[in-house]
Amino acid sequence: MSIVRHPVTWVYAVLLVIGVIGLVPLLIAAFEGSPAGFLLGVVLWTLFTVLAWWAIRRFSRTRPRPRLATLAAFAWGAIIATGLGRWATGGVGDIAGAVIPDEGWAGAIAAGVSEEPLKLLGVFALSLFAATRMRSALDFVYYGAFVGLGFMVVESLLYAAQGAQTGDSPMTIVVEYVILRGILAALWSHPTFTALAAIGLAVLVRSGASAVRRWLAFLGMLVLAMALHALFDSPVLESNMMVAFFAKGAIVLAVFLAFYLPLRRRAAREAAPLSEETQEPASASS
Amino acid sequence: MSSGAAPAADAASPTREPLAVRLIGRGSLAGALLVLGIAALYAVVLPMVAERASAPAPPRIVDVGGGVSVVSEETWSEAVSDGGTTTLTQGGATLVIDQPHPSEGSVVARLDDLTADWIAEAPDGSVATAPRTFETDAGDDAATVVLQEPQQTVQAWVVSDGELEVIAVLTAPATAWDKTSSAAQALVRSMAFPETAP
Repeated sequence: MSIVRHPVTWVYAVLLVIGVIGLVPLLIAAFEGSPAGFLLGVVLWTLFTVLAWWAIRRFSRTRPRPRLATLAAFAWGAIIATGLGRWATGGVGDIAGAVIPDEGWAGAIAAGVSEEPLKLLGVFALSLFAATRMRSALDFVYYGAFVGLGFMVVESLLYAAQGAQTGDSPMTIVVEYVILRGILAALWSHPTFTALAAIGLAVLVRSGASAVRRWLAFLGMLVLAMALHALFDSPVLESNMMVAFFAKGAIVLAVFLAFYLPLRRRAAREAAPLSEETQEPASASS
Repeated sequence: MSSGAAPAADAASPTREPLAVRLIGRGSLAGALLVLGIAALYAVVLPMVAERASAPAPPRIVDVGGGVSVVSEETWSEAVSDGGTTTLTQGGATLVIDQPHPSEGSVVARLDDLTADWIAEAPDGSVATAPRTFETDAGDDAATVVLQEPQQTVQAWVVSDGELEVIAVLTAPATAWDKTSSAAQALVRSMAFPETAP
C-alpha cells in the first residue's frame, strides 16, 4: 500500500493541521512578547536540533532507518504532540489540580500523564507503516527519541521566549534556556522519556508473548515514563535547583539505560553473525 | 535492573501474529481510527471533562418562603430550620432568615425598632451602629445594622420591596466575623421578591 493511500497518513495529516492550529497562537504570542528573543531561540534550537539529530542517527546507525519516517517522528513531537498538548495538558492539569492539593506536584503529574501518551501515540502511528521497518525494540526507541526531540525543542523554544519576555536581558535568558534545557538536559528529557515508553510499545505491538504480558509491559513502561517525567518536574529537592536537576536527571538516565543497554547488547549479539554473512546496505533509504 | 520487557520485545512467537502486523494486514484502518480516537480523547474529551470537573458549583437558590429567594454560595450549609425560618451556617456563624411578612414602613424605621429592642435585651457594654442603607441586586430597599456584644457580633438586615419585608440576622463569633459578614451581605444582596402583577 502506498503511503498516500495509507489511512494513517490521512489521520497524521489531519492531526498535523490540528496541531498547527493549536501551536501557531502560542508561537505568535511568544514572538510578540520578545521578537529578538524568539528569533534567537529559533536559531539556537535549530542548531541544537541538527546536533541532536546527528547524534541520535549516529548512535543508532547499526540499522538504516528511513529519513522520511524520522522526519515524521520529529514533526509528530514538534507539532502534533505540542499542538494537542495545548488542550490536553491544560485539561489534565485542571483535573490534577482538583485532586492533588500541592500545586507543584499537580503540575508535574499533569505534564507526565498528558504528554507521554501523546508522544507515544506518534511512535504507534509510525509503527503502522511497513515502510518504517519497526521490527525491534531499538527501532521503537529510535523513533521515540525523535518524537521526544521534536517535543523538547518546540516546548523549550516556547519556554525560552516566555522567559525572554519577563527578563531584563532576553538574549541571555534564551541562551541560558538552550544550555539548561537543551545541552545539559539532553540525556534526561523528552527523548529519554518517550524512548523508554516506546520499549513497552514495542513489546505490545511486535512481541508474540501472551496478551497479558504484552499489555503489562506496555502499561508498565508508559507509567514508568510518566512517573519519571513527573519526578523530574516535581518540587522534590527544589531548595537546591542545580542538585535537583542533576540528581533527578541521573535517575531518569539510569532507569533508561537499565532497559536500553540490554536491548542494545542483545541486538549486537544477534547482528554479529549476520553481518559477516549478509552485509546490509549502508545507505539509509528515504 | 532487568525486566521481561527487553527479551519479550524481540521474541516473536511463530504462532501468534504481532498486533502491528494484524493491524497492517487490515489496511491499517483500525490502527488509524485508534490513533484518531486516542488523539481526540486527549484533545477534546479530557479538556471537556476537566472543564466540568473544575467548574465552580452553580449557586444554590434558597427559598425562604412566600416566593422570596436568596442565592447561596456552597460555603453556606443549610441547617435544620423551624418556625418558618431558614437557617444557614458557615464557619461557626449562623444566619437566620425570617419568612416574609407585610412591610411595616421604611427599612430604616423598621431597623431602628429592632435595634432598640435588641439593645434593651443585650448585655451591658453592647453597642449598635447606625443603620446603613443599600439596594439589593434586584433594586429593592435594604438596610443593615451591627450590634457588638462582648462575646459575639450580631448583624441584622431588613429588606423590603414595598409590600413584603424580610428580616435576616447573622450571629458570629468575633474570629469568624470578617469572612461571614461579607458572605452574608452578598447573600442578602441577592434576595429576590416575587414579581407583582402590574
